[in-house]
Amino acid sequence: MIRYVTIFILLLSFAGCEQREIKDDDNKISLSKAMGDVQEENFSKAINKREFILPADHGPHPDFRTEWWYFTGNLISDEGREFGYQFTIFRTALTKNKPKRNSDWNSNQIYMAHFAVTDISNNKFYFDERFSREGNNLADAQVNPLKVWLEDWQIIQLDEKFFFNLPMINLKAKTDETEINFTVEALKPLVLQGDSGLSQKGKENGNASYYYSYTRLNTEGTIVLNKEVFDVTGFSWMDREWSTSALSDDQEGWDWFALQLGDSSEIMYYQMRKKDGTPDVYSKGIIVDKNGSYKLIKRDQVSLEVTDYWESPSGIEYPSGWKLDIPDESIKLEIIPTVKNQLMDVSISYWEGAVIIKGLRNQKSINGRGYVELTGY
Amino acid sequence: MNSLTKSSLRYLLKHPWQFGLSILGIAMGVSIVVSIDIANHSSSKAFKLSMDAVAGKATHQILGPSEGIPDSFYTYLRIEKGYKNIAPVIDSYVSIGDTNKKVFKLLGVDFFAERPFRDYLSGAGVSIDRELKDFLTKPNSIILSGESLNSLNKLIGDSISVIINGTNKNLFIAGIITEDEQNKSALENLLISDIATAQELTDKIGKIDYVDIIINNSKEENEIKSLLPEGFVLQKSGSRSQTAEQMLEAFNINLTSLSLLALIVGLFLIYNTMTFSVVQRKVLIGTMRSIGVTSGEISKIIIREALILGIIGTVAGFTIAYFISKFLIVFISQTINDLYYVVSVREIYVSPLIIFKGAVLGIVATVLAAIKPAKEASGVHPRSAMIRSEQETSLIKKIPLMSILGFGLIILGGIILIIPSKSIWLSYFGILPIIIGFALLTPLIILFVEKIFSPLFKKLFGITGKIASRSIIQNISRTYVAIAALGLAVAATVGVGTMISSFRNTVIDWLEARLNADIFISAPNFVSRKNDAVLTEEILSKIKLINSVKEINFYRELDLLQDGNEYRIIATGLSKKSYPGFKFKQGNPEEAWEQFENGQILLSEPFAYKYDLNAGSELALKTDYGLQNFKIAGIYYDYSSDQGLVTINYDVFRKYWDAKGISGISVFVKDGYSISSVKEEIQSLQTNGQQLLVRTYKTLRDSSIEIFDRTFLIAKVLQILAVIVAFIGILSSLMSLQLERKRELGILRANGLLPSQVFKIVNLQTLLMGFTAGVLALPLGNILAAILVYIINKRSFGWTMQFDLLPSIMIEAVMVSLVASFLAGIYPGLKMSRTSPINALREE
Repeated sequence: MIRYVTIFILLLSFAGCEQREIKDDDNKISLSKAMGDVQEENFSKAINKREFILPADHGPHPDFRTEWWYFTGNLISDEGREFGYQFTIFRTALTKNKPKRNSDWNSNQIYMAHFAVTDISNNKFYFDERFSREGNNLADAQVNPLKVWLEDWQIIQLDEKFFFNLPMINLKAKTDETEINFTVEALKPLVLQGDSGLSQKGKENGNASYYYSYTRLNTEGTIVLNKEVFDVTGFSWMDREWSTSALSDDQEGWDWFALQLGDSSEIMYYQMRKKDGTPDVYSKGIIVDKNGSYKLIKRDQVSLEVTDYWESPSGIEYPSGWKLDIPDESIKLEIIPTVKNQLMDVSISYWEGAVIIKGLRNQKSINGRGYVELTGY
Repeated sequence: MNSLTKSSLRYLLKHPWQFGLSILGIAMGVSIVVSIDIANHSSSKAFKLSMDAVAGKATHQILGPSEGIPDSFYTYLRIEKGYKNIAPVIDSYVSIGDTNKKVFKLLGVDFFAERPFRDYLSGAGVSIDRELKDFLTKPNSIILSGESLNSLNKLIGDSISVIINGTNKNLFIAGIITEDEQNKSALENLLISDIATAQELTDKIGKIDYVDIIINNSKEENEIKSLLPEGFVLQKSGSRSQTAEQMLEAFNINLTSLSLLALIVGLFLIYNTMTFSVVQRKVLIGTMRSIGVTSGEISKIIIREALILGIIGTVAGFTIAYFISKFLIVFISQTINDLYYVVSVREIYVSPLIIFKGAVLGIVATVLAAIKPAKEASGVHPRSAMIRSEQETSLIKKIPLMSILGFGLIILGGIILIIPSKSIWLSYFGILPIIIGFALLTPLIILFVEKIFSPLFKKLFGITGKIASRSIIQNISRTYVAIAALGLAVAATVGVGTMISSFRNTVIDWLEARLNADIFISAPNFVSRKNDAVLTEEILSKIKLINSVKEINFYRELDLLQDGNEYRIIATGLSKKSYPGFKFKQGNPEEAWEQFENGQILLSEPFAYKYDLNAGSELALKTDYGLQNFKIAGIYYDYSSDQGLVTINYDVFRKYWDAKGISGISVFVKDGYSISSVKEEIQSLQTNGQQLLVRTYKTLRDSSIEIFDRTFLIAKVLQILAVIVAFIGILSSLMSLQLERKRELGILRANGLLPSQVFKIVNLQTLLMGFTAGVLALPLGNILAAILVYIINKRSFGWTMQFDLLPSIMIEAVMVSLVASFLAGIYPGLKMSRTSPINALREE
């Protein structure tokens, strides 16, 4: 999925004037401006369709400005305690090419990571954010073996075993309060989002990303919460996306849904919001059936209705409950956050949380779990 | 206002000269003490603030071996050990500008690790104009405060040319840090760069100077300690400014004591003023007593007067101090920069303690000085008060007792001074009875001088000469305090002057013996007496290869932070030719040099003194491979560092320390080659931009002496200020004395004395008083100098110095006394001679 917002904090947190702008405007920032700015650097852009080569594309693409490795999931402990998690490592390039300098700290690549655990059973949410640079082995990304890390927050290939071209992966991250240590393996093949992996986000040429997902990964491991250890199992969702620019001037943000249904199918849908509040035509999604075959869903095939709102401590109103209908597929879903407050109150605030799904598919009741991301509020 | 207060006020207003001069005396005394205090406090505060700003919220620092902490150790702590609250720092200095060099601190940091540490570097405070991009990716990029940017007359995007480690570099200004009240002082003279840039600029690729860390409890502290390899240390982040403060301690105490000397002189003046105002009003007081004013009321009046004088004088003193301190700060920070560390003092910091101390000195001391006169005044019998000669006769009777007491006090002071101790304060405490003792001897000296000069004056000047000399004794209760005050001030001048000259001669002798090579090479440095900058070993080998070079010496300087102390290690590769330049205090030179070559160390005298070490004992040093004991082969005389030096053979040094580079090289030129041509040859070596400071014997000797002189400039300034205080005092007391003799001179005039003869009497008398003060000042001054040389300096710094009796300084002292008293006699002389006898006698 897309998280342009947060990426740019990297630049903005150091830019005093813009930082103040964020504060003055109640943590809102003109995303489109930040995104749409033409770069002096000639970064590569997502313009044409490309062939995805695996496992190479699991590794970094440093000639693109931004990139991320994104994992979310819903898990349950042996005792029946329910958890959600998000763990994402972002890379952003300052220049296309790495300057040749002597110091090992020298770097043109900056890394940021977000990590959150939702303690669903106790209605609690824990999150943290980290920054570092590529230099001095503090953070980096590599393929063969796959390793993406920001200090001790890491995505590491475990062995030579591959599942649908994705190696078995160890995810680990911790804060003072919580810690995860998971093994994930793909249960379904990779899904190319958008047009064969080219995901157009705005009307301009190049306002697009390369985007693929693993929509269901078996997940096992431990969650430590305030020193209590839980053995957990469940499903994760992995997104890989890289781009240079993606938002148009008139776009404000997006609502993004990654839903794993009880019948082993998945739905991804994102709705780009324009500044006037209406959905953009570039909104789209995908439906994956239990065998792993998938098809695109377009904006006009979907009806998305907000059923509830939640006000953040700083007074921003976020949608907090939806009705998602896809009549062509005979799908009617109700989506409800497991915990109201799953606000990632980091350098730039956004809402990202575990959700619970109830509804009907082909008139039969269906349920599921998923993750929703809301940006630009 | 009752009539007593009125009478006291009227008295003060009727004697505006006296009133003004006593206030000036108090004000000057207070202002010198306070301004020294302010200057000291401001410089250490400025250093502490800049240290705190640099340390940010770090509670501790991890220091590595001599070459610094390897990058990988930092990564290990972050990743393997999961420490989040740590940040790498490169801490260095650069100078900007060619003529008016400004020194800036260069702080290399990793922005991504800064959030827990330095507020001004995280978030809203920083505005990097062209994105973070330039700062991180463009070589040599720095950011600085807007104020610094303005002071350099530059804009964002400009470049500035600087010297780092003696190498010219161009820095690119990538942005500014927004200042606010809190970070303002932190950002003064600070350049911040990315850690990568700092490593490249300072040539520390792969190394970090220290790692800042936040540690919350002793469990965490022990945990960290257990992770540190040999050669690493964990220290509290304040300990660097503490070490710096310790370094300055002796320096500060000595300055303070000089200022106290000025105050003592001031106190004599105050005492003199108060005594005088009582003596002068004796008749009035007698009248008051005879009409029923109680003795308690009389002493109340006097004390109250003193209080008023004290308050006015103190307030005036603070005002003057504010200006003097601005001027003193320049000298003090120059000395600190020469000797200890880089500090830039831009603001004056006054603490409540300074104000309190100043007020106590000014007000309380004035009141205390008034107690004795007040007691005398109140104890006076109404009838005898009317008799003028009463007091004079009573003082003359007291002279034997005073003299015995004086000698006793001098002996007491001597005893205090020979108590074995390292305390500087105790030494100053011992000086006090000596000074008071001499003051008590003043009447005896006056009698003695008069005995010799009375016949001489009579012969030379006739009756006027006789009157002049006799009247000093006639008025001895007033003249002796004035003479003592002047004598004391002049003695202080002699003492400080003799000490400085003795010290200077010692240093010159030492320099001449020690600097026995022809050419000296080092990298330009920020602290003159310290050599942080290093030359590459390549330069050393290039110099060795020069045909005309006969032999070379070289050394590597390294500061070891050990147990809260800073040990300066000098690792030398010495040619045998240079051995005789070292004069040994302990140890047989021949044996010591042999042992030195075999791995033992030599200590400089101050070092051995500071840490109580002797030849034959051992010293443990923190090497890169752990603590190592070194045997001490000898102790040598050295005046280059008051912190002391540990000298070690370079080859031995390299076994225990990884620090590369050379701090200095000295060259012996082969016979038959000219030194200047070899110097030119060295200067023309290819050095990759490394600047070489190449000096001949003469220039190095001269610049060393220049630094020495600069160091003592502040002492000289204080000495001059003390003389000014004394001069004002002498002016005030002599003038009052003469003005008070109005009636006596009126009688003489009525008896036929010419105005010119009156003028002559007044002037001869003041001159004789000045001369007496000089006689008093010479022994006292030389005793003070000897105490400063043999006791105070020894206890402060551990230096053995030669003591020189300097006729020039003594002659100068007598001249100062004579000139001061001559000048002080002019106005009263003129006034007296112009006063008509009728007016002068009117009160009869």
